[in-house]
Amino acid sequence: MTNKQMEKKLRRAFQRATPNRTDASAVHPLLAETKNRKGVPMKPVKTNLQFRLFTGLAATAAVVALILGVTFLPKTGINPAAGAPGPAQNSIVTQPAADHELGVVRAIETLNSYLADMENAPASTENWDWEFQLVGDILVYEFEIEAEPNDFIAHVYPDGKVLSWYEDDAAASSAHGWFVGLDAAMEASKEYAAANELSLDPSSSSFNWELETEDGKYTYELEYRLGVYEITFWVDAVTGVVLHHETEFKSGFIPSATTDAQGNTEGPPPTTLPSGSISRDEALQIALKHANLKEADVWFTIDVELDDAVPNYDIEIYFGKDRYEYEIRLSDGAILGADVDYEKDATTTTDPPDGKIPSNVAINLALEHVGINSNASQGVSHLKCEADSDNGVKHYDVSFHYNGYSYELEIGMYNAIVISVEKETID
Amino acid sequence: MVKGVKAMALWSNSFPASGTLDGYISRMASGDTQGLELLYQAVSPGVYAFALSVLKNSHDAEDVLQDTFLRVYNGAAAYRSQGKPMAWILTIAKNLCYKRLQEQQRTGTAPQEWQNYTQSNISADDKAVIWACMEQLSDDERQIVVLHAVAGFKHREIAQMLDEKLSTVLSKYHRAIKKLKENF
Repeated sequence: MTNKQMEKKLRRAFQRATPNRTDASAVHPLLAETKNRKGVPMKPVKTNLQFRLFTGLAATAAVVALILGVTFLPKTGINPAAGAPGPAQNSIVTQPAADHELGVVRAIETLNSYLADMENAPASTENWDWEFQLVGDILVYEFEIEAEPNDFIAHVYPDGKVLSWYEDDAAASSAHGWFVGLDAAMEASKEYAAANELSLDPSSSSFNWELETEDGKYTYELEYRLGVYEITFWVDAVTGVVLHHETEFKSGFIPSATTDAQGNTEGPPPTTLPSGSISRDEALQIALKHANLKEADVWFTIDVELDDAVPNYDIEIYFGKDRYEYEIRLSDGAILGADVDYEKDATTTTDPPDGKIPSNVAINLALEHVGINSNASQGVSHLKCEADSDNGVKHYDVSFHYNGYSYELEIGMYNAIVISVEKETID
Repeated sequence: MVKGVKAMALWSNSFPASGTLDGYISRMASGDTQGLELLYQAVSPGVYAFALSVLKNSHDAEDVLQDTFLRVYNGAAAYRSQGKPMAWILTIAKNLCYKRLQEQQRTGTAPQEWQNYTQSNISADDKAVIWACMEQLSDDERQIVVLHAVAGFKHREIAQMLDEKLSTVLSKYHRAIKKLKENF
């Protein structure tokens, strides 16, 4: 099992364990009722009925379909992801139906008729499960249909249109003709490389590929390792079009640049370190010395980047919450650029060495958050700002009186986030 | 000759973009109840999992989940986007969790051990995954795993939230995932 598969397993388990309250009409009245009322506990909302109802509906639908001989048969050549019969792209519904049971029923109906038109059925379909998912920014029903040998996953818009449908196995989905397939994707990447004058010789490289989703789009990610650099292509799995590519160095030694007849340095990166180059470790030590840090205290990455065809070390050093970034010339170790990122918020006006926002910034944020112009804060009294730590989370407690109310706000000491706001009338 | 071909079927759920969540919150602020619903659907698993990882009790975690959304709803009008809505929501949840823990410690009712699920509406497989997460990981490991895998935070963001070094977060995370994988 890969790490990503374990993450998916965890995510799914917690998603299913989370109390399912999809109906705003069930949640909202309780919220409205308790709004502006302190100390009123919110009662548990039991809306798991929806899930149970759906489970019953799904099971019934599956059983009825099986009894009636409606087999779940993917028809070779049909490519739902490509839109045949597929989704009507011009009728995307981005909001779930107000009545979720109806929305789910519509989705099941669509899937059943969809499946009924297909061939090469899975041997059996056992369980259907569904949940809401965001695909890109679109909220859809995600159906997981357990089947042998592979599960099926379908995304359905709340109006019943099928967004995508595929077998949870890249090879099987390609075999069904739903995706263009690895060979076609590789061919597309080679054509793209040739058109863009990228050197791509798979015979002398290692190669990896994955099928993944990117903003709801199924994409082949093809990684060609060529010596010490790697070119990655992202190919639309449905259309076979190369979406974009990226070239990256993967180790500390570098190839030499090729030069054309006119002396222009272009094309693929070099294949060996230029003689006299400093090593990765030497570059790291230069950066550490400049940052006044010890190697044992930090975590770092070292890459080689091309800047106008000249290779430089790009070093990122993480120390606590601080990030140092150095660009170091490969030939002589000169520091070409140094940057320290304290993750300060845009509202921070100074750069304190430890990354904290100053207390006056916290006060201004607090005043502005409740609608007081910090430049004209007449009427504010009893103003206090104290540093505090709540279970390791450092923040400022800002309190003041204004216009008959007492305010208390917690402002994140490092990220300037307004953590909490309390407002009470002054007795 | 193509070497090292690795066939993988990856299905990665997308985590909602910060802009999307900000949009939901601003809809809530303008009284659109669907904003609340959408936000709940998008982030409740992360909030719930985090609360569960801290409180080790599903009933307490459900209470915190509700209270968190109550506070988010009540605070929506005053919310000012800093580009990190999930961090804002999780901070509220974290504060509620710690307040509850403090209260439990004061009254001597804090659970020392993970109190297993009695809910019948989740599968045995899911219970096993959650059990492994709750039983086999240290408190730190569990929080890091949940924040990354379920709530969608980057390791670097987690390091900042927990006031830990990135290297510490990364090593704890990989150790934890390795432990979990041994169960499945």
